[in-house]
Amino acid sequence: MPLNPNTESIIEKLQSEYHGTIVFEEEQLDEALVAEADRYQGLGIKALSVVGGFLSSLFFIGFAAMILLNWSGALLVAGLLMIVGTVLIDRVSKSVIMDTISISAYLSANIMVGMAVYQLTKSDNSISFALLAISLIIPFLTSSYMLNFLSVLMIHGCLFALLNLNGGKELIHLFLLLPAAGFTLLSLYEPRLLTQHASLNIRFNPWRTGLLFSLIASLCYSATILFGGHNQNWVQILALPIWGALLIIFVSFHTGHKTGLVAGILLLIYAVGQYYYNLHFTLLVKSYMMCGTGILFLIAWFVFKKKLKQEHEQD
Amino acid sequence: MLKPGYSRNIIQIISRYSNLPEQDVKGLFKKNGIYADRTGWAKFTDLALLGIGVAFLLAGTIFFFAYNWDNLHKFVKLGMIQAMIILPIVSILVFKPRELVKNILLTMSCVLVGVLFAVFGQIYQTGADAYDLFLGWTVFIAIWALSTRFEALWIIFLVLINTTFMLYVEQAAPYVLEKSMYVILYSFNLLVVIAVQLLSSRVEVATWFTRIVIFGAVVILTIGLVDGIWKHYPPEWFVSLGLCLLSYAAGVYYSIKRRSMYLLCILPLSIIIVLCALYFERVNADTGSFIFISLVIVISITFLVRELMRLNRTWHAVKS
Repeated sequence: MPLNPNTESIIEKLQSEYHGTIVFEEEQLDEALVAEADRYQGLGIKALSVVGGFLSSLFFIGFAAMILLNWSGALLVAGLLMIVGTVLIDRVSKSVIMDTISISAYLSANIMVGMAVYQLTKSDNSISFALLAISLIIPFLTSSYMLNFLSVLMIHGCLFALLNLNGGKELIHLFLLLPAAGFTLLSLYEPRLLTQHASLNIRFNPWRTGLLFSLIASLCYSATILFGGHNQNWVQILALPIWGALLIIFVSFHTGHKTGLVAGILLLIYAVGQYYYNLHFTLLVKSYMMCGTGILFLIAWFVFKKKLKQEHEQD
Repeated sequence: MLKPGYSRNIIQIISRYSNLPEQDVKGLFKKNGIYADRTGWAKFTDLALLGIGVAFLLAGTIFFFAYNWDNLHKFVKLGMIQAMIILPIVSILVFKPRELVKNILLTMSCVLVGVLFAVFGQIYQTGADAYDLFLGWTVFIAIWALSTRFEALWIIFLVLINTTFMLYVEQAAPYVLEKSMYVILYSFNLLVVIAVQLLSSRVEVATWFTRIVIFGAVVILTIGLVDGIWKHYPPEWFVSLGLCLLSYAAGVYYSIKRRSMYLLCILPLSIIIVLCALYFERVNADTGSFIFISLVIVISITFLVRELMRLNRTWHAVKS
């Protein structure tokens, strides 16, 4: 089969630049590039699929709750079957068209399994373990963007719930180091991970985005709870949410992700706002602190400008 | 040299189906301007230090006045805010800054007019309804808003008009107006969109402005229709329905003619929501109806997405 002219020119260019040492899987590359060019680039259709998926899973859960609540075994089996079905559908069709169905079915199925497990065991811990198990297995079975993304969010949510349920309330603020480390490592080692294996390469984007969203959720929670507490303690003084927001900003800027950058800035404003709002000082002291900080930053800006100018002159 | 122009996704795909080593993939990311370089970081640091410095200094100043607020004389309070309104305007006239700076300064003044009204009401305990405040605010920034070509300010202005009307209906309006609030708001916002479209040959308006106004209008109409269904179809509901059918049909026709995807995504969603509400009002909410609605949503949206993608592809193919 002849390759697309676009694919050919890419291969040619890279070959000439790297002296013909690169081996391409030409047909698969061609197929993927055509699919990429064909992909709808706007946000509208994607948003439509996601909203549709959420809406319909909402109603489906209403149905499941009403009809199957008395038969936990059936609920569990139905939920697991739906997950298997979603993975199978996704293997057959890779199109964006299936997004609505995948999201809706996967979310509904997970909630059904959760309800059934709770009916059977009456324990919140076992719900978390059951959902954690599912979301750890799913990424091995499918390369679907949505299923991988939702699984990462669920893994984070389950771990968070487990910690919260078992008396680790203080540790929650340190728990956010986990998504922070994951997000940072994944972002900074992007080229290494991409070249590791094709199956890792294709899951890179949903995992990175999933970790970013998890980190944002953790930071928001931490900023709201932590700074809102009445007694100030060591975790509060560390002001982890502010550092977390800065981390997101730096990493996103470095790797060229605009969404992450904007999210990081909004989070920073929120975290700093929460921090000062809940600080146990009078407004007057806070105002001096803020003016002082502002002046320090402006001095830093002047010094930076000057240094930059010097360097330009040296070049 | 490789010409710049590979997106992140393209580079990821190239890496997926080739044995390009790690260092070269990294090189591709850098060469195509996806990873930030030295100049990028310099610009970023510059903006960040300045922005954070100014923001903290401003916040500190506001906190300082907030601390002393109760002890200030009322003339000082009002005078300070008035000075803050006048200062940007004077600096626009004196320094003649760039268009964007000018617009941002003017928008600042417009927002402060609202603060002035609030403080005035607080000091003199005017006892006015909340809509009075918003009405005053809207009226007094009208000339600034209409004479400037700045979409962000227009959005603020439109939000003010809508809020004023909603508060008026809630607090003081006769019953007739209350029942037809959604229709009136929808028609008003629709007229704004139409006016902007008619003027588009003379004044260039950013697409996002029209899109936000349309989105707001569609949300208002959808809420109005669903609300009317729960209130068992008052006469106004049929007016809304007629308006909805007419304007949506016109919107779809316009979108297809102009090859724009936006309306084709949000209008059907609005219709699906209204139909679901209609169904639930007609039948008793039992198990069957839940699964039915769930399936209807999945199937209709999946079908819609498929058709839209097909449409998009044909438009795309014809264009290139």
